[in-house]
Amino acid sequence: MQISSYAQSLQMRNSIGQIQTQLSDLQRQLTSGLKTDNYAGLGDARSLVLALTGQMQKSNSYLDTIQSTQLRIESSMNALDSMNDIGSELKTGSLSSTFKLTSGGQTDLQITAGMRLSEVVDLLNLNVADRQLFGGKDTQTTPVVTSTMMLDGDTTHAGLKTLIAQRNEADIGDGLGRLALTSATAGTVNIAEDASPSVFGFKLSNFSSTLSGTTVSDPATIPASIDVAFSATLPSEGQSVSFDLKLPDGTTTTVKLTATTKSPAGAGEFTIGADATVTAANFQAALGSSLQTEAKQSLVAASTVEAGNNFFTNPPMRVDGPPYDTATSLIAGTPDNTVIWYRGDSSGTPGNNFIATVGDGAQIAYGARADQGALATVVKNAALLAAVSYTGTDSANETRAYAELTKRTASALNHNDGSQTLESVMTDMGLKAQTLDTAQSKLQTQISTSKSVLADTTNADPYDVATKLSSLMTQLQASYQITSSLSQLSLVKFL
Amino acid sequence: MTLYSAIGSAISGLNASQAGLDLVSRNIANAGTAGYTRKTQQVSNNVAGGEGIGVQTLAATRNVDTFLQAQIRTETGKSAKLDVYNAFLSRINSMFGVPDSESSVASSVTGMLGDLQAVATSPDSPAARQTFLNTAANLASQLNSMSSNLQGMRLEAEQNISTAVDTANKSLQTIADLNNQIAQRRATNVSVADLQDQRDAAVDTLSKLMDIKAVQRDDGTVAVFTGGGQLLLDKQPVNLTFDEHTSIDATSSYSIDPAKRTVGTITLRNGTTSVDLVASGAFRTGSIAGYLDMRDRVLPQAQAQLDELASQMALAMSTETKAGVTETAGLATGYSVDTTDMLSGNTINLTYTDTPAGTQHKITIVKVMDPTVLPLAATATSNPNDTVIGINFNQPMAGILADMQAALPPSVVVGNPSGNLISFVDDGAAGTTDVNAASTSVTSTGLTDTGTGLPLFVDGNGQKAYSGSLDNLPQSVGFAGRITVSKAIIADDTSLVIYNTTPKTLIGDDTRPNDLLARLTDSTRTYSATTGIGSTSTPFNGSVDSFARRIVSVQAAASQNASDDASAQSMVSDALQEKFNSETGVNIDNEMSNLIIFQNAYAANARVISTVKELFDVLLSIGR
Repeated sequence: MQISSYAQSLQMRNSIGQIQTQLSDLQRQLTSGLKTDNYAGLGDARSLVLALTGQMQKSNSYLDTIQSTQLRIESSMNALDSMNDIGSELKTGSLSSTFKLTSGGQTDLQITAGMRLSEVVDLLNLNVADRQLFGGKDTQTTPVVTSTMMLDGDTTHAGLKTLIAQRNEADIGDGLGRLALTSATAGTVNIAEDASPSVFGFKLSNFSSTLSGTTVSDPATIPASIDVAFSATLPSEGQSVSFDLKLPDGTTTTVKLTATTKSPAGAGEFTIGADATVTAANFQAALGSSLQTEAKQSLVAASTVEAGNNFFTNPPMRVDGPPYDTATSLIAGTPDNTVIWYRGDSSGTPGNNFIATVGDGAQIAYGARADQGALATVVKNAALLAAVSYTGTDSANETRAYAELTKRTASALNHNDGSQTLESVMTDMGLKAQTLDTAQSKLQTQISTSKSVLADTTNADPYDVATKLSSLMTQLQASYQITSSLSQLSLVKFL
Repeated sequence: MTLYSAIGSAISGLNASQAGLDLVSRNIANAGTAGYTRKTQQVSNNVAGGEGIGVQTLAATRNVDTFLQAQIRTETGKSAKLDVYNAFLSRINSMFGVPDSESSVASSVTGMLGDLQAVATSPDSPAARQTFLNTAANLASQLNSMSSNLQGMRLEAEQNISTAVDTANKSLQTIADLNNQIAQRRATNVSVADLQDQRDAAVDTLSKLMDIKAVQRDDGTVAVFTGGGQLLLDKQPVNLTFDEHTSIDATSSYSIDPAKRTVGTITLRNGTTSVDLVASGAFRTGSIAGYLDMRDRVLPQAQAQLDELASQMALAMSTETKAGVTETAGLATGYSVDTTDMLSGNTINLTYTDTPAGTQHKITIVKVMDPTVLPLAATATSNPNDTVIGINFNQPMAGILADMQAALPPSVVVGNPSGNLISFVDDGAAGTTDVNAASTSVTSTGLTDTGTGLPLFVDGNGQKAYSGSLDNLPQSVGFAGRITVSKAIIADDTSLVIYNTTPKTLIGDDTRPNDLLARLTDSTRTYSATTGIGSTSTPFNGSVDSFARRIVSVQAAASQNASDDASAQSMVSDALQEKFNSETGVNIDNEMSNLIIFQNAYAANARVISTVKELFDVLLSIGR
C-alpha cells in the first residue's frame, strides 16, 4: 500500500495540532487554576458542583440571616438585662423604702424610679441598624413615648399623672370611697355602694359580725348594700363587726369596728349607747370615719395602681368624666386626648414576632415587645412610683398610703401573680442565641467542607498539570524532530 | 521489419514517456491538493496487422475505491451533523458561564432566593428590598437574553439551512455539468480522471450537507438520490427551494401543515411536482439535518426549559389557593368555589371519593377562553395524578355548568348557588360519592389585599398578568423571553412587605417575604415533562433553584455528549479519509521513481532514434 505524501504531512500536522490544543488547555489550567471553564467540561461532577455551589449560596444567605438575628437578639438581651436590674432595684427599694419625703413631695425611691423610668424608655427605644427592637413588626416607630410625656402628657394629651388623679377622684368620691351611709329607720345603719353598675370605689364583698342582738344582713339590693340593725339587746364590749371591701385593683381590705363602752371611742371602735338608736348613730359615725381613713390609705393606693393598669392597656382606659367624683364607668382614651405609651405594633401576641430562616426548613421565632407582660410591668411600676407625689401634711394617712403603694409595686415586680418574668424572656432568648450559634457553626463547617470538595472537583492540581505539560512538551519536541528528519527523507534529496 | 518501423516505435515510446513525464509533473504539482487523486498513464502495445508497431498512449486513469468513497460520504455526513450539534450546544453551554463564577442561571435563581431571605430578615430595610428587586430584574433579563440568544441561534440555523440549500443546488448543477462533459469525453476516449476528481468533490460537498446516495451509470455519469430514495439528479438536477423566514421567535415552529408552519422548509421541485423534504424525513445526516434538529427540536426544548423555569417562578409567587366553602343542598353536601377572579389558565381543584369503594379522584378544571384548544391533554398540568378537564368559560354560566357536568360523573352535581359561585355536591341520599374538597388557584393581579403572594413577575412590556393561559398559543411559550419584574413593584418596593391595606401591614412584618420564600423553595413543586426533564408519570419535583440547576446540568451534559459524539465521529471519518487519501493521493517518492523510469525510457527511445539515424547514415554512405 502506498502512502501519499499529502496524507503523511496532513497526519503529521493533525497530530501536532492536537498536542498544541492540549498544551494550550493545560496552560489555561495552570493560569486559571481550574480544570475547565464550562459546565460541560466538568463531566459527571457537574451535578455535584451545581448542588454544592447552590448549597453554599444558600448557606451564605442563612449565615447572613443568623448574623442579623444574633445582633438583634444579643442587643435585646443586653437591654433586657439592664431592665431586669432596674426591676430588681425598684423591687428591693419598694420592700425597704420608708415614707420620708426628700423634695417635691417624693421619697428617694420615687425619685430613683423617675430616673429609672427614663432609662427603661431609652432601653426599649433601642435602635439597632435602623430597626426598633421592641416595637414588634413596626420597626420604624419609636415604640415608647418619653418618660416626661408618659407621666405628664401635654396640653391636649393626658398623661399618667392626670389619669391617676382622675381615677383617685372617682374612687374616693365624697370621701367615703363611693359608699353611702344612711339610717332609714332608727337603730339601723345601711351601707350601700353609691351606684350600680360602677367600677369605682369600695365594693362590698363580705361581712362578719359577733355583735349580739344585732342583725347584719345583705338585703340583696342593687346597688349592693348591707344593713346593720341594732336591737334592744345591745352588743357588749369587745364584740365586733367587719366588712370586707374590694379595692379597685382587685385586692381586699377589711374595716373592723369593735364595740366599746368608752366614750369617746378610739379609732376602729364605736361606743355602745343607751339604746339601739344611740348605738346605731355612734356606729354610723365611727364607720364613716373608718371608711374615710381607709379611703385615704388603701383605696387611694389601689386606685393609683388600677389607674396605672388602665393606662398601660391598649387603648388606655380613663374615667368617663368630668365630673369624676360621680363617674361610674371607664372610657377608652383616644390618641387625641390621652398619651398612648406604646406606639409600636400591637397585633397578635407580643413576643416572638419575627421568623428567621436559619437552615433548610429550620426557622426560629424571636423578638420581644415593649408591651409584652414582663417588659410592661417594669415600665408600669417605675411609672407608678414616679407619678405619685405626697403633700407631707397628712403624715398618718400618707405613710400608710405610700406603704400600700410600695407593697403593690414590690408584689408586681416580684411577679407574685405568676406572670411572665424578664428572666424567662431572657432565658428563652438565650436558648435561641444558642440555637443560632449551633446553626452557624454547622453552616460554617458545611461551607468549608463544600469548598474543599468543590476545590477538589474544579481546581486543577498544579503538580499534575505541570507534569502533563512537561511530558507533552517532550512529545511535541520529539514530533518536531521527527517531522524535520522525515522532511529530509525524500527521494528528491537523493537525485 | 524496417528501420522505419523502429523509428516509429521509438517515437511512440518518446510520446509515451513524454505523456508519462507530463503526468508525473502534474501529480507532483498536485501532491498537496486536497481531493486530487493520483493519475497513472495507461499504455498498450500498439498492434497493426498482427505486428507490434510501438506503444500506444491511452487516456490517463485514476484508481479510486468507490466503496470506501461511499463509506466516507456517509461518515462525513454524520460528522457534519454532529459538528453542528457540537457548535450550537457548546454555545448554549457557554451561556451558563464558568462553574466557579456563580454566573449561571441556577446561581442567579439561588442568589435571588438569598436576597429574598435578606428581605425576610430585614423587611424594613429599603436596601434589602431594592437589592432583591434588582437581582430579580437581573434574573429576568438574564432569562430574556438567554431566550433571545436561543431564538437568535434558531434564526442562524434557518439562515444556514438557506445557504446550505443554495450550496446543494450549486453542487447538483456542477455534478450535472460534469456528468455531461465526462460522458462526451469518454465517448472520444479522452481522460476523464480530472473531471471525475472535480465531480467527486461536488458530491462530497453535497454529502456533507445532506444524506445522499450516488449511483454510477454505465455512461460514466452519476445519479444522485436522497437517502430516502428521492431522485435529486439524473440527467437534469431537481431544484431545491427554501422559503427562509427572516424572523424567528419562540412561537415559530415547524408543522407539516403549511398554514401553521412559521419557519422555512425545503421543497423539492421537479417539473410540476413538489415535495416537502423535511416532512418526508429526507434529512437524516449532514449539516442540514443538524440545523433542522437545532431549529425544530433541540433549541425549542432548551427554550421550553427556560420557559418552564420562568413560568414556575411567576406562578409560585402569584398564585393564591382559595379554599371552597361548605355547600349543602338537602342531603347532598359539598363545596362551592368563587370563580370571579379566575384568569384563563387558572384552575378549580376538586377532590371526590367513590363510596364505599374509597377510590379518590383528583380533578383539575382548567379555565380556557378559547374553545378551539379543547379538549386539553392530561399533560396540561404537570401533576400526573389528576384528571384534567378544560372548560370554556367564554360562554354563559349555564353553558359552563353543562360542560362541567358533562365531564364529571352524574353523582357529582355541579350547581350555581349565586353569581359566579360554582358548587360541587355529592349525590346525597344515594351516597355513592363524597366530595372531599374544592378550591381555586387564582393568579393575583393586585399588590395588596389578595393574600400574601405577589405577582412579582409579569408578562412582557404590557405588564400582563401571567396565569399560564392555554388559549390560542400557550402563554408559557417564550415566556422566558418576556418575563419582567412588575413596574408597580419597582415603583414601590414596600409592596414586597405590605400585603394588606386595612389594617395596613407594618413595614417590619416578615409574613409576605417569608411566604414568597417558602413558595419558591417548596420542594413538592412539579415541572412539565415537555421540557425533557422528568417524565409525564414521574415529573421533576423540587424548588425552582433545583430545577434551574437541573437545566444547567442537562444542557451541559447535552453539550458534553455532543462534543464527545462529534469527536468520536470525526475520528471515524478522519481515519477513513486518511486511508482514502493515502491510497489515492500522490507519493512523491513514487513519482520520482516514475520520473527516473520515464527519463530512462525517453533516453532509450532517443537512443534508438539516434541509432537508426546512424544506421541510415551508414546506409546512405554506401552509395557514395
